[in-house]
Amino acid sequence: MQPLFLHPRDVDIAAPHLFWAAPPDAVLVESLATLGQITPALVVETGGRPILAAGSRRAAALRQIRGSALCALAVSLDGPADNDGYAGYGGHAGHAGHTGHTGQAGHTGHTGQGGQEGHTGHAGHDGQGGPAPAVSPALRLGLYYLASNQGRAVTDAMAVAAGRYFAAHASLDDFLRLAGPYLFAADDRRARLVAQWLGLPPELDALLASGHVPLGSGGQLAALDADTRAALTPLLAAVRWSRGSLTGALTWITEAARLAGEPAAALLARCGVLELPHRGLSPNDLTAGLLAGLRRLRYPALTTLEARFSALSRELSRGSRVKLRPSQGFEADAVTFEVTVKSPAELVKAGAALAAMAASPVLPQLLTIAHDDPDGPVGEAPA
Amino acid sequence: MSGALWDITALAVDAAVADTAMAARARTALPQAQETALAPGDPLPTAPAGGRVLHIKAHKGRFLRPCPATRHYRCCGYQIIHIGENCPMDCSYCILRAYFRDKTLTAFANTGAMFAELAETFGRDISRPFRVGTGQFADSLALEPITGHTRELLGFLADYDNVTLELKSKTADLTWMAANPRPDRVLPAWSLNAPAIVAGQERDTAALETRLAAARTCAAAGFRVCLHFDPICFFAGWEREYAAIIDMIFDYLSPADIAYMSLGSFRCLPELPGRLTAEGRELPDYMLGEFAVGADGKKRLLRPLRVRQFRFMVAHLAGHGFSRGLYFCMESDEVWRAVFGHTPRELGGLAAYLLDCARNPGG
Repeated sequence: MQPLFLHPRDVDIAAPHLFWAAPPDAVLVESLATLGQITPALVVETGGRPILAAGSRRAAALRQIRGSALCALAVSLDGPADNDGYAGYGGHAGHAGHTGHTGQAGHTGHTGQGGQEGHTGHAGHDGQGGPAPAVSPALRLGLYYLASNQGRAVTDAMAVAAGRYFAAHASLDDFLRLAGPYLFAADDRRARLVAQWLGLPPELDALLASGHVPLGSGGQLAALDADTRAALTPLLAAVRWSRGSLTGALTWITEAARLAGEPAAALLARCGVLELPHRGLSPNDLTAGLLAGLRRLRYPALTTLEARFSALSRELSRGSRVKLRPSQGFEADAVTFEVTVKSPAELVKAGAALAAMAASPVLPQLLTIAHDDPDGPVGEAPA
Repeated sequence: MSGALWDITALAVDAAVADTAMAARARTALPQAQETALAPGDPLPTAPAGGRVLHIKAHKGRFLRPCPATRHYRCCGYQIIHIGENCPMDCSYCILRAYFRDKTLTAFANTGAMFAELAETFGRDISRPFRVGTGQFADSLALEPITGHTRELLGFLADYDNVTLELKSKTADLTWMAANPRPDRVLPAWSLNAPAIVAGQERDTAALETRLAAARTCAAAGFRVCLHFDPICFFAGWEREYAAIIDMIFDYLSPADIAYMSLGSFRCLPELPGRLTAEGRELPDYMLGEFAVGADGKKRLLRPLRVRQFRFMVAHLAGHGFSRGLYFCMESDEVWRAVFGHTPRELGGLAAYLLDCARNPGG
């Protein structure tokens, strides 16, 4: 196969099928300048302007090097039909159009020139006979791009970006069947999570890419109505959520809205958590503050009791090392006092502190803390 | 639904009880059901048409047993005569959902063994009163038209003046009255709930009006009845809803017709909500309340909220002139004190108090 030599500006380096395209870094530009292009790009000849199938970073880098040409191999969009066995998920992925491209392993991630690692896992087309639909040119371009990037670590955001491209041209099932083997290991549950994430508006993909929202929360976010998601977006962007924290936060806000019988957006606007990101808190304090605010929204009575207990116990135990705990779930009129001592003298001191607490007028309040209805007078309707 | 009674399309009868009167009654009552004779070790058949199996079998353990109460809360001392297991009605809050994992209904047909055990206990000292019931692991009366269990039991209990039997149900079945029991030794009982809960969370139960009409029939026949508000659910508008059913009670009954009445706030094993959603049912609002895990490991509404519920119910019942015989099912002394101003101990113990309510109409 004879390589083509193209002017790097003659190819479109921002086409949608180049869904992981990124600007070249200085190392790549330097490598191309000093060593030349050692791995060809892939193009599809169209009779007009060739379509770049892989090698967008190399092409972009070469645009910065005056007088350089992009070396590319031509691939065809007329590949084999899409038999059921073709690219079966968890099995092989055949690439009839790539049979001459093996041996380009050695690409070292983003800084290397190569775009393709060896296709050692591709055993060839395993057609099962009978006519099968052709893979559309758009899908084939996407598959070429994935194949040329095989071996590259695929982040969650990259998988979603690929999914967006394929989902625009095929069903989710076809995306997973055709592209899945390039993106996920056979037992990788990310395939299901990516499929769930694709139910979200693409605007949220940036929060995934920036690490603010984990892939695993996609399903829960997708289940929210658009208004609630829009109301939550400032909070999603405010901190880097763990899946557990975000699950708790989303559960609290949706349940609180359901119990209140009003939109989550209205609740959020009222409860003050939307102001927290503007207070200059540390990331940890901001996360804690948001979670506490949303938990208060969901459990107003319980959190009120907890706050009262906390305030009274601080007052009662001030100056001592005694720790106080309420009964489980505030079920009993009881308080647990806990103190650790390392010497008889410390025990004497703790004993004196406990005696002082026993005489404090705060103690009866603490013991009867659950006697008051945190939500108001008897007979008031719950939220 | 198959159209069969309680959707029972299969009758499985263990060989050991195949010749009992109960098995014969079941065959007569369920002529369309596919019958299977089960040898020891045989698996239960699958019910045709998506229906359920009624398994007539022998019970091998003790028939009389205490209510499976926890020591952390005050129990009423109810003793259970174990006549069967599971319920054909379907209530989202039901504890049986956690106890039994399928729809199979079980009735124990070895009543001879049951009566022998009960005779030994009840006859040991006939001056010792017992308050017993059959509605713990099953609805007391749901299967009565099929099994005739209660009629048999009432026939046996005719010789035991010291035993008061409570029949707790959500049906309006009164066929047991054919046994002609002493009205002062039987307490027909109905579980009641807010109309919205009955409409949305109970399936195949009798309408509230039907239950109360049955209660009125019993009262007219000289029986005093028991009513149970358990679970009282916390949801938007709960006061209006519970006020409505309390008002409705006294359209049918006078306070003197009621021997005792229990109040219990919704509580559940923590896995119940998951069990419901696994069945494809939407989680009801009342399961989204503010719950704490109590000392018995069950989720309970936060104590101040329970107290709010109970105070409301007690005040509304008092407005209708009902207060004697009102008690809490599985509550703490703290809650008793907060609502009633005293604990069960000050009543002489809850079990003794309810025995007195059951046997002494005037108090």
